[in-house]
Amino acid sequence: MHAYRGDVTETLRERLKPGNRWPVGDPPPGPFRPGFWRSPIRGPWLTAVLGAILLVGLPIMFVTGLLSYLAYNPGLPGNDTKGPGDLLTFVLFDWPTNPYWLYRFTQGLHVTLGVVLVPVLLAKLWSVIPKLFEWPPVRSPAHALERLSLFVLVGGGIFTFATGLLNIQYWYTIPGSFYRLHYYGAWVFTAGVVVHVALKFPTMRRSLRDRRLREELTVDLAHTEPESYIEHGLASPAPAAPTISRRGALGLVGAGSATLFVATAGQTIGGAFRRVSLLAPRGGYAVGDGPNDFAVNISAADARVDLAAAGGRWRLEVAGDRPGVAASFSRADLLALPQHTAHLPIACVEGWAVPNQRWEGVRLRDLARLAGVDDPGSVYVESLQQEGQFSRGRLAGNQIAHPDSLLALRVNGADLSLDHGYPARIIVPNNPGVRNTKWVHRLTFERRS
Amino acid sequence: MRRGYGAHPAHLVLLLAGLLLAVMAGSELLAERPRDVGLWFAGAAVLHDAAFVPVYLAADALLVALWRRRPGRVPWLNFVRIPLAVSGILLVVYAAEILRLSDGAFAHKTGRSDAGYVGHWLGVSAALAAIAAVWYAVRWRATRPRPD
Repeated sequence: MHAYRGDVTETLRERLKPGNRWPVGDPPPGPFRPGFWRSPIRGPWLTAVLGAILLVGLPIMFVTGLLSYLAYNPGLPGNDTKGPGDLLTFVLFDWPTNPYWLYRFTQGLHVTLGVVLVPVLLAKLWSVIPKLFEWPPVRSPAHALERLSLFVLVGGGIFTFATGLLNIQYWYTIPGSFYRLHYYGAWVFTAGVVVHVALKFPTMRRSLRDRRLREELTVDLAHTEPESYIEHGLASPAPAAPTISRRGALGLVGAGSATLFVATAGQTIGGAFRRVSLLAPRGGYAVGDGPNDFAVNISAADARVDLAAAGGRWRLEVAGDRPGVAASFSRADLLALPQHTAHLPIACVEGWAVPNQRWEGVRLRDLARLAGVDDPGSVYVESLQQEGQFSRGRLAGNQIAHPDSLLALRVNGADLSLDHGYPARIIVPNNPGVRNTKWVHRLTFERRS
Repeated sequence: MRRGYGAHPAHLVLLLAGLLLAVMAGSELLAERPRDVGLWFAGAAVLHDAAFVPVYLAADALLVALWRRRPGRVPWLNFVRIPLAVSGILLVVYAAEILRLSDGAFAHKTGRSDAGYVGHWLGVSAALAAIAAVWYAVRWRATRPRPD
């Protein structure tokens, strides 16, 4: 026993001496042998093409994702959706109110692109499978670190994509807050991507230069040749006869992405396209033509709205920074104040959107003035809903000041329905959907500090 | 350095910087329910290679073996393989909806049932199969041997 352990230590010490090679042996049979992987189209070129697509797509995912985090104004107290994590928390700027459709665009892009990239991601993983079974598993300390970074890359990537996909389908099985897991998972993924791109960019460029895309797309199955085998490379040492050309494989990925686009994007773009997007969580159906027939993120029943409090006795409390209630309004009182109309969409973090609706109500800045705060830095909005993370939250000064920012009472010429926030709801240009708080019962305007 | 470590020192700097960022984000990721989140992360790392790969490689090998027995005058393999693969990808992406895994949350949140998605998925898959069939028929006609 002791002799054995000593033996191993001795061998390792010998092998770890500078200049000596890491232990090398014959790989066990099966996937660890390079000859096990026989696809003739697997090789640096196909991997490079898929990598190049991801190299364009993933930065867009990162930027639009970070924008979505910032859109909630995480710098305002209580607003940070991912919870009180300190690391990797940035508040770069106040989220703008112009253009009013920006969040609809960036978040629709984020979710739709994420869905559309899945086939590319899967194909990329397929294209590098032999690397998982490399033998010996670790050739040097450098190789060990690199493999660790690949664990970060692949684990972080699938984790981030999976949490996003599960969230838009309302399968809340993930272990914790979606915002938190998706945010920090994406940072782990980003770390993996940055290292991987830095290491592999030269290889990608060389592979793309060796075999021009335009020429490769003219090569049919009969003329498909395997790439040459290099030790620890991707190409097979014993390629099988091809059953699909490289352009055919890229066509498969493209067909997957195109189908996913058509099946998904309608929930963001809206109109007739919504009906065509048969697999979108908010698509594949026709929206009714009643004034309150557009989609909701959460119904009054699920938000556990206190129906008695939302009924005839409802009053809106508007407070300033002085203690106590500055003013209290019935719905009739509010309707007697100057009314303003705004045409604004509702865009959800889940990627779907409701196109512009005609909202009528009282400007938030008018209510601030009634509370005695002329230039508010923020407003604390409280809802009658008893369920959910977004029953209360803050809007920033620039959002209050915008002339289209309303406490809406009516939509499309009718009273708000209960599910759309009756008696009164917030609607602010370019605001994430859940921040357009429904069933509002108190607004506390806070002075700039 | 290069001999002991196995790469240029810049490689080490890059890897350490990247792993530091991953550890920073990972520490926040694992701050709550570390066991569950860790399992999810490790599961994510092997999901494709350990769960998807054996299934799709076996299915593909089966399909190729069937095709080799009767390859047809115009090879039909990819006209079946591609719509099947795309249909499988749709299932992977929208599994929660199609298999109705949300335990009622879908209906609660959207106000609509998710019962229709399995039909939608089958319908889209059928449409893909129909496109492939038409394409195959066109190929078949275009390569028909002339009688003369």
